[in-house]
Amino acid sequence: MPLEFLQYDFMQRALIASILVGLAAPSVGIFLVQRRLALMGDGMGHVALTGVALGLLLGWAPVGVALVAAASGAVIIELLRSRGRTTSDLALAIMFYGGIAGGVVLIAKAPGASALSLNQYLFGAITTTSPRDLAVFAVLSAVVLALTLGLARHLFAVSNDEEFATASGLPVVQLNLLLAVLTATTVVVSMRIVGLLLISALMVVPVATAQLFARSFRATMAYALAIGLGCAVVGVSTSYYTNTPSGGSIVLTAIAVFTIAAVITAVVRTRTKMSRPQELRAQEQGFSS
Amino acid sequence: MLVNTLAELRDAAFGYDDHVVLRDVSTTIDAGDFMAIVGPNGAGKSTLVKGILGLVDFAAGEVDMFGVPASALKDRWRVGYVPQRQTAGGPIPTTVKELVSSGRLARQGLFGRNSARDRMAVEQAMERVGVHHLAHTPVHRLSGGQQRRVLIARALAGDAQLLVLDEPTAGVDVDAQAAVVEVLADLSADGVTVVVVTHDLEPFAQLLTRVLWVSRGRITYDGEPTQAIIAAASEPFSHHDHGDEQPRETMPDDLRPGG
Repeated sequence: MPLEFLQYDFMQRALIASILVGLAAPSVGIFLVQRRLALMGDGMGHVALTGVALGLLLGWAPVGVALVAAASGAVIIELLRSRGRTTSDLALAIMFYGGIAGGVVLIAKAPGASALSLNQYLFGAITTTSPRDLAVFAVLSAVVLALTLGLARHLFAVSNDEEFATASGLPVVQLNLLLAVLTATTVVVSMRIVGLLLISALMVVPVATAQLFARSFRATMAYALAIGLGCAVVGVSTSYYTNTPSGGSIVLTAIAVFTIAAVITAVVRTRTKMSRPQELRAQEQGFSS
Repeated sequence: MLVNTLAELRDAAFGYDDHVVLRDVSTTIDAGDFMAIVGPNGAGKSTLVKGILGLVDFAAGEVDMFGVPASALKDRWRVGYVPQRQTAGGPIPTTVKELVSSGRLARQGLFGRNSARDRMAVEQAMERVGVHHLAHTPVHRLSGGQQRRVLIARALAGDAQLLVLDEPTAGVDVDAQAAVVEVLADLSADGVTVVVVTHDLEPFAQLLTRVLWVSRGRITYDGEPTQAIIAAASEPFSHHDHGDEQPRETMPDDLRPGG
Protein backbone atom coordinates (compact mmCIF):
# COMPACT_ATOMS: atom_id res chain seq x y z
CA MET A 1 0.00 0.00 0.00
CA PRO A 2 1.66 3.23 -1.08
CA LEU A 3 0.28 5.27 1.83
CA GLU A 4 0.78 2.61 4.52
CA PHE A 5 2.91 5.02 6.56
CA LEU A 6 -0.22 7.00 7.34
CA GLN A 7 -1.42 4.25 9.69
CA TYR A 8 1.20 5.47 12.18
CA ASP A 9 0.23 8.48 14.29
CA PHE A 10 3.73 9.92 14.25
CA MET A 11 3.81 9.76 10.45
CA GLN A 12 0.43 11.49 10.23
CA ARG A 13 1.80 14.25 12.43
CA ALA A 14 4.99 14.39 10.37
CA LEU A 15 2.99 14.74 7.17
CA ILE A 16 0.82 17.54 8.55
CA ALA A 17 3.89 19.31 9.93
CA SER A 18 5.64 18.96 6.57
CA ILE A 19 2.66 20.52 4.79
CA LEU A 20 2.80 23.49 7.19
CA VAL A 21 6.56 23.89 6.78
CA GLY A 22 6.43 23.39 3.01
CA LEU A 23 4.04 26.34 2.70
CA ALA A 24 5.43 28.65 5.39
CA ALA A 25 9.14 28.44 4.50
CA PRO A 26 8.96 29.70 0.88
CA SER A 27 6.33 32.31 1.81
CA VAL A 28 8.98 33.98 3.98
CA GLY A 29 11.94 32.95 1.83
CA ILE A 30 10.75 34.83 -1.26
CA PHE A 31 11.17 38.17 0.54
CA LEU A 32 14.59 37.18 1.92
CA VAL A 33 15.74 36.28 -1.61
CA GLN A 34 14.38 39.59 -2.93
CA ARG A 35 16.31 41.44 -0.20
CA ARG A 36 19.43 39.43 -1.07
CA LEU A 37 19.45 38.03 2.46
CA ALA A 38 18.98 34.40 1.44
CA LEU A 39 21.19 33.20 4.30
CA MET A 40 19.15 35.00 6.97
CA GLY A 41 17.30 31.76 7.78
CA ASP A 42 20.61 30.06 8.50
CA GLY A 43 21.57 32.73 11.01
CA MET A 44 18.20 32.40 12.74
CA GLY A 45 18.61 28.61 12.85
CA HIS A 46 21.92 28.97 14.63
CA VAL A 47 20.47 31.35 17.22
CA ALA A 48 17.47 29.06 17.71
CA LEU A 49 19.92 26.28 18.65
CA THR A 50 21.05 28.33 21.64
CA GLY A 51 17.37 28.66 22.58
CA VAL A 52 16.80 24.90 22.29
CA ALA A 53 19.86 24.19 24.44
CA LEU A 54 18.78 26.76 27.01
CA GLY A 55 15.34 25.12 27.12
CA LEU A 56 16.88 21.67 27.70
CA LEU A 57 19.22 23.07 30.37
CA LEU A 58 16.44 24.82 32.30
CA GLY A 59 13.87 22.09 31.73
CA TRP A 60 11.57 24.45 29.81
CA ALA A 61 9.89 23.71 26.47
CA PRO A 62 12.74 23.93 23.90
CA VAL A 63 10.33 25.11 21.16
CA GLY A 64 9.18 28.10 23.22
CA VAL A 65 12.67 29.13 24.30
CA ALA A 66 13.96 28.67 20.73
CA LEU A 67 11.18 30.92 19.45
CA VAL A 68 12.04 33.66 21.96
CA ALA A 69 15.78 33.35 21.22
CA ALA A 70 15.39 33.37 17.44
CA ALA A 71 12.87 36.23 17.46
CA SER A 72 15.12 38.30 19.77
CA GLY A 73 18.10 37.58 17.53
CA ALA A 74 16.02 38.58 14.50
CA VAL A 75 15.02 41.90 16.03
CA ILE A 76 18.59 42.70 17.15
CA ILE A 77 20.06 41.90 13.74
CA GLU A 78 17.43 43.98 11.95
CA LEU A 79 18.00 46.96 14.23
CA LEU A 80 21.77 46.72 13.75
CA ARG A 81 21.31 46.49 9.99
CA SER A 82 18.82 49.35 9.71
CA ARG A 83 21.00 51.69 11.78
CA GLY A 84 23.94 50.87 9.54
CA ARG A 85 26.13 50.13 12.55
CA THR A 86 27.41 46.97 10.96
CA THR A 87 27.04 45.36 7.58
CA SER A 88 24.44 42.66 7.12
CA ASP A 89 26.92 39.90 6.40
CA LEU A 90 29.07 40.69 9.44
CA ALA A 91 26.03 40.81 11.70
CA LEU A 92 24.84 37.49 10.28
CA ALA A 93 28.30 35.95 10.71
CA ILE A 94 28.37 36.91 14.39
CA MET A 95 24.92 35.33 14.80
CA PHE A 96 26.09 32.13 13.11
CA TYR A 97 29.07 31.63 15.39
CA GLY A 98 27.49 32.84 18.61
CA GLY A 99 24.34 30.76 18.08
CA ILE A 100 26.11 27.48 17.34
CA ALA A 101 28.75 27.98 20.03
CA GLY A 102 26.14 28.87 22.65
CA GLY A 103 24.02 25.87 21.65
CA VAL A 104 26.88 23.37 21.80
CA VAL A 105 28.18 24.66 25.14
CA LEU A 106 24.76 24.82 26.82
CA ILE A 107 23.61 21.43 25.55
CA ALA A 108 26.77 19.82 26.98
CA LYS A 109 25.66 21.04 30.41
CA ALA A 110 21.98 20.06 30.04
CA PRO A 111 20.91 17.09 32.18
CA GLY A 112 20.12 14.00 30.10
CA ALA A 113 20.92 15.71 26.81
CA SER A 114 23.40 14.15 24.41
CA ALA A 115 24.86 14.48 20.95
CA LEU A 116 21.72 12.69 19.77
CA SER A 117 19.43 15.45 21.07
CA LEU A 118 21.64 18.02 19.33
CA ASN A 119 21.37 16.08 16.07
CA GLN A 120 17.60 15.90 16.30
CA TYR A 121 17.33 19.66 16.27
CA LEU A 122 20.14 20.28 13.79
CA PHE A 123 18.90 17.88 11.12
CA GLY A 124 15.27 17.18 12.03
CA ALA A 125 13.69 14.10 13.52
CA ILE A 126 10.11 13.54 12.43
CA THR A 127 9.34 10.89 15.00
CA THR A 128 9.81 13.41 17.81
CA THR A 129 6.92 15.69 16.77
CA SER A 130 4.39 15.42 19.61
CA PRO A 131 0.67 16.26 19.22
CA ARG A 132 1.28 19.36 21.35
CA ASP A 133 4.19 20.45 19.14
CA LEU A 134 1.99 19.98 16.09
CA ALA A 135 -0.74 22.22 17.51
CA VAL A 136 1.81 24.95 18.25
CA PHE A 137 3.33 24.59 14.76
CA ALA A 138 -0.10 24.77 13.13
CA VAL A 139 -0.96 28.04 14.88
CA LEU A 140 2.45 29.58 14.16
CA SER A 141 2.40 28.48 10.50
CA ALA A 142 -1.09 29.91 10.06
CA VAL A 143 0.10 33.26 11.48
CA VAL A 144 3.19 33.25 9.21
CA LEU A 145 1.10 32.46 6.10
CA ALA A 146 -1.64 34.95 6.94
CA LEU A 147 0.88 37.78 7.39
CA THR A 148 3.15 36.97 4.43
CA LEU A 149 0.22 36.56 2.04
CA GLY A 150 -1.85 39.40 3.54
CA LEU A 151 1.04 41.88 3.48
CA ALA A 152 2.72 40.45 0.36
CA ARG A 153 2.54 43.72 -1.60
CA HIS A 154 4.02 45.73 1.28
CA LEU A 155 6.75 43.21 2.04
CA PHE A 156 7.55 43.13 -1.69
CA ALA A 157 7.82 46.94 -1.87
CA VAL A 158 10.19 47.08 1.11
CA SER A 159 12.26 44.07 -0.03
CA ASN A 160 12.56 45.41 -3.57
CA ASP A 161 13.58 49.00 -2.83
CA GLU A 162 13.91 49.99 0.81
CA GLU A 163 14.98 53.56 0.00
CA PHE A 164 11.97 54.22 -2.22
CA ALA A 165 9.63 52.58 0.30
CA THR A 166 10.97 54.85 3.07
CA ALA A 167 10.63 57.96 0.91
CA SER A 168 7.04 57.07 -0.02
CA GLY A 169 6.08 56.77 3.64
CA LEU A 170 5.71 53.01 4.14
CA PRO A 171 6.50 51.80 7.70
CA VAL A 172 9.77 50.22 6.53
CA VAL A 173 11.32 49.56 9.95
CA GLN A 174 8.18 47.84 11.21
CA LEU A 175 7.81 45.73 8.05
CA ASN A 176 11.47 44.67 8.18
CA LEU A 177 11.12 43.74 11.86
CA LEU A 178 7.98 41.78 11.04
CA LEU A 179 9.79 39.86 8.29
CA ALA A 180 12.68 39.12 10.65
CA VAL A 181 10.32 37.77 13.33
CA LEU A 182 8.38 35.73 10.74
CA THR A 183 11.69 34.24 9.59
CA ALA A 184 12.55 33.30 13.17
CA THR A 185 9.11 31.77 13.67
CA THR A 186 9.39 29.70 10.48
CA VAL A 187 12.79 28.43 11.56
CA VAL A 188 11.39 27.21 14.87
CA VAL A 189 8.29 25.66 13.25
CA SER A 190 10.56 23.80 10.85
CA MET A 191 13.24 22.54 13.20
CA ARG A 192 11.57 19.19 14.00
CA ILE A 193 10.99 18.33 10.36
CA VAL A 194 13.82 19.90 8.39
CA GLY A 195 16.29 20.77 11.13
CA LEU A 196 17.92 24.05 12.04
CA LEU A 197 20.85 23.60 9.66
CA LEU A 198 18.67 22.83 6.64
CA ILE A 199 15.63 25.05 7.07
CA SER A 200 17.14 27.86 5.04
CA ALA A 201 17.22 25.49 2.04
CA LEU A 202 13.45 25.06 2.16
CA MET A 203 13.05 28.84 2.33
CA VAL A 204 15.30 29.48 -0.64
CA VAL A 205 15.37 26.49 -3.05
CA PRO A 206 11.62 26.45 -3.96
CA VAL A 207 11.87 30.21 -4.65
CA ALA A 208 15.01 29.70 -6.74
CA THR A 209 13.12 27.02 -8.72
CA ALA A 210 9.96 29.10 -9.20
CA GLN A 211 11.84 32.19 -10.45
CA LEU A 212 13.30 30.10 -13.28
CA PHE A 213 9.98 30.03 -15.12
CA ALA A 214 7.66 32.59 -13.46
CA ARG A 215 7.12 36.01 -15.08
CA SER A 216 5.76 37.89 -12.07
CA PHE A 217 6.37 38.17 -8.33
CA ARG A 218 2.87 36.89 -7.64
CA ALA A 219 3.37 33.81 -9.84
CA THR A 220 6.80 33.14 -8.30
CA MET A 221 5.19 33.13 -4.85
CA ALA A 222 2.38 30.77 -5.91
CA TYR A 223 4.78 28.34 -7.63
CA ALA A 224 7.26 28.48 -4.73
CA LEU A 225 4.54 27.56 -2.22
CA ALA A 226 3.37 24.68 -4.43
CA ILE A 227 6.95 23.43 -4.91
CA GLY A 228 7.72 23.78 -1.19
CA LEU A 229 4.58 21.85 -0.29
CA GLY A 230 5.28 19.11 -2.86
CA CYS A 231 8.91 18.69 -1.85
CA ALA A 232 8.09 18.56 1.88
CA VAL A 233 5.40 15.88 1.40
CA VAL A 234 7.48 13.80 -1.05
CA GLY A 235 10.58 14.19 1.14
CA VAL A 236 8.83 13.03 4.32
CA SER A 237 7.21 10.08 2.51
CA THR A 238 10.54 9.10 0.96
CA SER A 239 12.28 9.28 4.31
CA TYR A 240 9.81 6.71 5.67
CA TYR A 241 10.41 4.20 2.89
CA THR A 242 14.16 4.70 2.57
CA ASN A 243 14.70 5.06 6.31
CA THR A 244 16.59 8.33 5.85
CA PRO A 245 16.42 11.58 7.88
CA SER A 246 13.44 13.74 6.91
CA GLY A 247 15.32 17.05 6.66
CA GLY A 248 17.94 15.79 4.24
CA SER A 249 15.32 13.93 2.18
CA ILE A 250 13.16 17.06 1.80
CA VAL A 251 16.09 19.27 0.83
CA LEU A 252 17.48 16.73 -1.66
CA THR A 253 14.02 16.47 -3.23
CA ALA A 254 13.88 20.28 -3.52
CA ILE A 255 17.35 20.41 -5.10
CA ALA A 256 16.40 17.62 -7.55
CA VAL A 257 13.30 19.60 -8.59
CA PHE A 258 15.44 22.73 -9.00
CA THR A 259 17.96 20.86 -11.17
CA ILE A 260 15.24 19.40 -13.42
CA ALA A 261 13.57 22.82 -13.76
CA ALA A 262 16.90 24.50 -14.52
CA VAL A 263 17.71 21.97 -17.26
CA ILE A 264 14.23 22.21 -18.82
CA THR A 265 14.21 26.04 -18.84
CA ALA A 266 17.75 26.12 -20.29
CA VAL A 267 16.71 23.74 -23.10
CA VAL A 268 13.52 25.72 -23.82
CA ARG A 269 15.46 29.01 -23.92
CA THR A 270 18.11 27.59 -26.26
CA ARG A 271 15.42 26.27 -28.62
CA THR A 272 13.59 29.62 -28.57
CA LYS A 273 16.84 31.44 -29.39
CA MET A 274 17.64 28.99 -32.21
CA SER A 275 14.20 29.23 -33.77
CA ARG A 276 14.04 33.05 -33.61
CA PRO A 277 16.50 33.82 -36.45
CA GLN A 278 14.51 31.52 -38.77
CA GLU A 279 11.32 33.42 -37.98
CA LEU A 280 13.07 36.72 -38.53
CA ARG A 281 14.51 35.53 -41.84
CA ALA A 282 11.07 34.35 -42.91
CA GLN A 283 9.59 37.73 -41.99
CA GLU A 284 12.27 39.59 -43.92
CA GLN A 285 11.58 37.50 -47.01
CA GLY A 286 7.86 38.13 -46.72
CA PHE A 287 7.00 34.47 -46.06
CA SER A 288 5.36 35.24 -42.77
CA SER A 289 2.57 37.60 -41.96
CA MET B 1 1.52 86.31 -7.86
CA LEU B 2 1.05 83.87 -4.97
CA VAL B 3 3.95 81.42 -4.86
CA ASN B 4 3.06 78.00 -3.54
CA THR B 5 6.15 76.72 -1.71
CA LEU B 6 6.38 72.89 -1.60
CA ALA B 7 9.65 72.70 0.31
CA GLU B 8 11.58 75.22 2.33
CA LEU B 9 15.03 74.69 3.84
CA ARG B 10 16.44 77.10 6.39
CA ASP B 11 20.13 76.77 7.35
CA ALA B 12 19.75 73.02 6.99
CA ALA B 13 22.63 70.55 7.36
CA PHE B 14 22.54 66.88 6.37
CA GLY B 15 24.89 63.95 6.77
CA TYR B 16 25.41 60.36 7.84
CA ASP B 17 25.89 59.50 11.50
CA ASP B 18 28.21 62.22 12.86
CA HIS B 19 29.58 63.27 9.46
CA VAL B 20 27.99 66.42 8.01
CA VAL B 21 28.06 66.32 4.18
CA LEU B 22 26.06 69.44 3.39
CA ARG B 23 25.61 72.59 5.48
CA ASP B 24 24.00 76.07 5.45
CA VAL B 25 21.35 75.11 2.93
CA SER B 26 18.64 77.75 2.58
CA THR B 27 16.38 77.50 -0.45
CA THR B 28 12.83 76.76 -1.55
CA ILE B 29 11.20 74.49 -4.09
CA ASP B 30 8.16 76.25 -5.51
CA ALA B 31 5.17 74.73 -7.30
CA GLY B 32 5.84 74.58 -11.04
CA ASP B 33 9.63 74.66 -10.69
CA PHE B 34 11.79 72.51 -12.92
CA MET B 35 14.94 72.56 -10.86
CA ALA B 36 18.30 70.95 -11.53
CA ILE B 37 20.81 70.25 -8.78
CA VAL B 38 24.29 70.12 -10.29
CA GLY B 39 27.84 69.82 -9.06
CA PRO B 40 30.84 67.49 -9.18
CA ASN B 41 30.75 63.93 -7.87
CA GLY B 42 30.84 63.84 -4.09
CA ALA B 43 29.75 67.48 -3.73
CA GLY B 44 26.57 66.54 -1.86
CA LYS B 45 23.89 66.64 -4.60
CA SER B 46 22.33 63.29 -3.72
CA THR B 47 22.65 64.05 0.00
CA LEU B 48 20.62 67.23 -0.55
CA VAL B 49 17.69 65.41 -2.15
CA LYS B 50 17.91 62.56 0.32
CA GLY B 51 17.80 65.16 3.08
CA ILE B 52 14.64 66.66 1.59
CA LEU B 53 13.17 63.13 1.36
CA GLY B 54 14.10 62.31 4.96
CA LEU B 55 16.49 59.53 3.93
CA VAL B 56 19.60 60.94 5.60
CA ASP B 57 20.18 62.38 9.06
CA PHE B 58 19.10 65.94 9.56
CA ALA B 59 21.89 67.63 11.52
CA ALA B 60 20.79 71.27 11.88
CA GLY B 61 18.35 73.92 10.71
CA GLU B 62 14.78 73.38 9.55
CA VAL B 63 13.08 71.68 6.60
CA ASP B 64 9.40 72.25 5.88
CA MET B 65 7.52 70.13 3.37
CA PHE B 66 4.09 71.26 2.17
CA GLY B 67 3.97 73.78 4.99
CA VAL B 68 4.75 71.41 7.88
CA PRO B 69 8.07 70.28 9.40
CA ALA B 70 9.40 67.44 7.21
CA SER B 71 9.51 65.01 10.15
CA ALA B 72 5.80 65.57 10.77
CA LEU B 73 4.73 65.11 7.14
CA LYS B 74 2.21 62.28 7.09
CA ASP B 75 1.41 62.05 3.37
CA ARG B 76 4.94 61.47 2.12
CA TRP B 77 3.56 60.06 -1.15
CA ARG B 78 3.08 63.70 -2.25
CA VAL B 79 6.78 63.52 -3.07
CA GLY B 80 7.63 60.96 -5.79
CA TYR B 81 11.22 59.72 -5.57
CA VAL B 82 13.07 58.17 -8.50
CA PRO B 83 16.33 56.78 -7.10
CA GLN B 84 19.37 56.09 -9.22
CA ARG B 85 19.21 52.39 -10.07
CA GLN B 86 20.96 50.25 -12.66
CA THR B 87 17.97 47.90 -12.72
CA ALA B 88 14.43 48.49 -11.51
CA GLY B 89 13.72 45.01 -10.14
CA GLY B 90 15.43 42.52 -7.82
CA PRO B 91 16.29 38.83 -8.12
CA ILE B 92 12.63 37.71 -8.33
CA PRO B 93 10.80 38.28 -11.65
CA THR B 94 8.53 41.31 -11.28
CA THR B 95 6.13 42.76 -13.85
CA VAL B 96 6.03 46.45 -14.71
CA LYS B 97 2.56 46.68 -13.18
CA GLU B 98 3.65 45.04 -9.91
CA LEU B 99 6.55 47.45 -9.60
CA VAL B 100 4.50 50.55 -10.42
CA SER B 101 1.75 49.40 -8.01
CA SER B 102 4.27 49.41 -5.17
CA GLY B 103 4.36 53.20 -5.54
CA ARG B 104 0.69 53.38 -4.58
CA LEU B 105 0.91 51.33 -1.37
CA ALA B 106 1.77 54.14 1.05
CA ARG B 107 -1.55 55.80 0.17
CA GLN B 108 -3.49 52.61 0.84
CA GLY B 109 -2.24 51.93 4.37
CA LEU B 110 -1.20 48.52 5.68
CA PHE B 111 -4.51 46.74 5.40
CA GLY B 112 -6.20 48.99 2.86
CA ARG B 113 -7.96 47.52 -0.15
CA ASN B 114 -6.61 47.92 -3.67
CA SER B 115 -9.58 49.99 -4.84
CA ALA B 116 -10.67 50.77 -8.40
CA ARG B 117 -9.23 54.25 -7.93
CA ASP B 118 -5.86 52.80 -6.93
CA ARG B 119 -5.81 50.53 -9.98
CA MET B 120 -6.75 53.48 -12.18
CA ALA B 121 -3.90 55.58 -10.73
CA VAL B 122 -1.42 52.79 -11.53
CA GLU B 123 -2.75 52.49 -15.11
CA GLN B 124 -2.51 56.26 -15.56
CA ALA B 125 1.03 56.38 -14.17
CA MET B 126 2.10 53.72 -16.70
CA GLU B 127 0.35 55.60 -19.51
CA ARG B 128 1.97 58.92 -18.62
CA VAL B 129 5.47 57.50 -19.12
CA GLY B 130 4.54 55.29 -22.09
CA VAL B 131 5.03 51.83 -20.55
CA HIS B 132 1.36 50.88 -20.42
CA HIS B 133 1.74 48.29 -23.19
CA LEU B 134 4.50 46.59 -21.14
CA ALA B 135 2.36 46.21 -17.97
CA HIS B 136 2.72 42.42 -17.82
CA THR B 137 6.33 42.23 -18.98
CA PRO B 138 8.99 41.35 -16.40
CA VAL B 139 11.06 44.50 -15.76
CA HIS B 140 14.37 42.68 -16.19
CA ARG B 141 13.51 42.14 -19.87
CA LEU B 142 13.23 45.90 -20.52
CA SER B 143 15.95 48.22 -21.81
CA GLY B 144 17.70 50.60 -19.42
CA GLY B 145 15.65 53.54 -20.69
CA GLN B 146 12.35 51.68 -20.28
CA GLN B 147 13.33 50.71 -16.73
CA ARG B 148 13.98 54.39 -15.91
CA ARG B 149 10.48 55.24 -17.14
CA VAL B 150 9.02 52.42 -15.03
CA LEU B 151 10.71 53.94 -11.96
CA ILE B 152 9.19 57.32 -12.85
CA ALA B 153 5.76 55.66 -13.16
CA ARG B 154 6.23 54.09 -9.70
CA ALA B 155 6.96 57.54 -8.24
CA LEU B 156 3.86 58.96 -9.97
CA ALA B 157 1.50 56.18 -8.87
CA GLY B 158 0.81 57.91 -5.55
CA ASP B 159 -0.26 61.10 -7.41
CA ALA B 160 2.97 62.88 -6.46
CA GLN B 161 2.99 66.68 -6.76
CA LEU B 162 6.76 66.90 -6.46
CA LEU B 163 8.96 64.51 -8.43
CA VAL B 164 12.59 64.13 -7.29
CA LEU B 165 14.89 62.23 -9.66
CA ASP B 166 18.49 61.21 -8.96
CA GLU B 167 20.52 61.13 -12.20
CA PRO B 168 17.59 60.03 -14.41
CA THR B 169 19.61 60.19 -17.64
CA ALA B 170 22.90 58.69 -16.44
CA GLY B 171 23.98 55.41 -18.00
CA VAL B 172 21.36 55.19 -20.77
CA ASP B 173 21.79 55.79 -24.50
CA VAL B 174 20.92 59.05 -26.25
CA ASP B 175 17.48 57.88 -27.47
CA ALA B 176 16.50 56.63 -24.02
CA GLN B 177 17.76 59.90 -22.52
CA ALA B 178 15.57 61.86 -24.94
CA ALA B 179 12.56 59.69 -24.02
CA VAL B 180 13.07 60.34 -20.30
CA VAL B 181 13.42 64.10 -20.90
CA GLU B 182 10.24 64.08 -23.01
CA VAL B 183 8.33 62.34 -20.21
CA LEU B 184 9.59 64.94 -17.71
CA ALA B 185 8.61 67.77 -20.09
CA ASP B 186 5.06 66.39 -20.32
CA LEU B 187 4.81 66.00 -16.54
CA SER B 188 6.11 69.53 -16.00
CA ALA B 189 3.56 70.85 -18.50
CA ASP B 190 0.88 68.98 -16.50
CA GLY B 191 1.87 70.95 -13.39
CA VAL B 192 4.16 68.45 -11.67
CA THR B 193 7.10 70.15 -9.93
CA VAL B 194 10.35 68.44 -10.96
CA VAL B 195 13.75 68.33 -9.24
CA VAL B 196 16.55 66.47 -11.03
CA VAL B 197 19.98 65.72 -9.68
CA THR B 198 22.31 65.61 -12.68
CA HIS B 199 25.91 65.99 -13.70
CA ASP B 200 24.85 67.23 -17.16
CA LEU B 201 22.37 70.10 -17.59
CA GLU B 202 22.33 70.06 -21.36
CA PRO B 203 19.47 67.52 -21.90
CA PHE B 204 17.21 69.59 -19.60
CA ALA B 205 18.26 73.04 -20.83
CA GLN B 206 14.92 73.94 -22.44
CA LEU B 207 12.88 72.88 -19.40
CA LEU B 208 14.78 74.39 -16.49
CA THR B 209 13.46 77.25 -14.39
CA ARG B 210 16.04 76.98 -11.58
CA VAL B 211 19.54 75.67 -11.01
CA LEU B 212 21.18 74.84 -7.67
CA TRP B 213 24.94 74.39 -7.84
CA VAL B 214 26.40 72.32 -5.01
CA SER B 215 30.09 72.13 -4.34
CA ARG B 216 32.12 71.13 -1.30
CA GLY B 217 29.00 70.62 0.74
CA ARG B 218 27.46 74.04 0.16
CA ILE B 219 25.13 75.67 -2.33
CA THR B 220 27.20 78.08 -4.41
CA TYR B 221 24.56 79.14 -6.93
CA ASP B 222 20.78 79.28 -6.67
CA GLY B 223 19.05 81.03 -9.52
CA GLU B 224 17.98 81.08 -13.14
CA PRO B 225 19.51 78.79 -15.72
CA THR B 226 21.60 81.35 -17.56
CA GLN B 227 23.52 80.38 -20.70
CA ALA B 228 26.77 80.57 -18.76
CA ILE B 229 25.50 78.22 -16.04
CA ILE B 230 24.23 75.67 -18.54
CA ALA B 231 27.49 75.78 -20.46
CA ALA B 232 29.50 75.41 -17.25
CA ALA B 233 27.46 72.39 -16.10
CA SER B 234 27.16 70.66 -19.45
CA GLU B 235 30.72 69.42 -19.74
CA PRO B 236 31.21 66.05 -18.09
CA PHE B 237 32.24 66.70 -14.52
CA SER B 238 34.07 63.40 -14.53
CA HIS B 239 36.90 65.04 -16.51
CA HIS B 240 37.75 66.88 -13.35
CA ASP B 241 37.41 63.98 -10.97
CA HIS B 242 40.68 62.18 -11.35
CA GLY B 243 44.29 62.62 -12.30
CA ASP B 244 46.32 65.56 -11.12
CA GLU B 245 43.73 68.14 -12.08
CA GLN B 246 41.91 69.91 -9.28
CA PRO B 247 38.18 69.23 -9.42
CA ARG B 248 36.07 72.20 -10.41
CA GLU B 249 34.69 72.58 -6.93
CA THR B 250 33.26 76.06 -7.02
CA MET B 251 31.44 78.29 -9.42
CA PRO B 252 33.58 80.69 -11.39
CA ASP B 253 33.22 84.13 -9.75
CA ASP B 254 31.74 85.74 -12.84
CA LEU B 255 28.83 83.29 -12.72
CA ARG B 256 27.87 84.04 -9.14
CA PRO B 257 24.66 85.96 -8.69
CA GLY B 258 25.69 89.61 -8.45
CA GLY B 259 29.28 88.58 -9.20
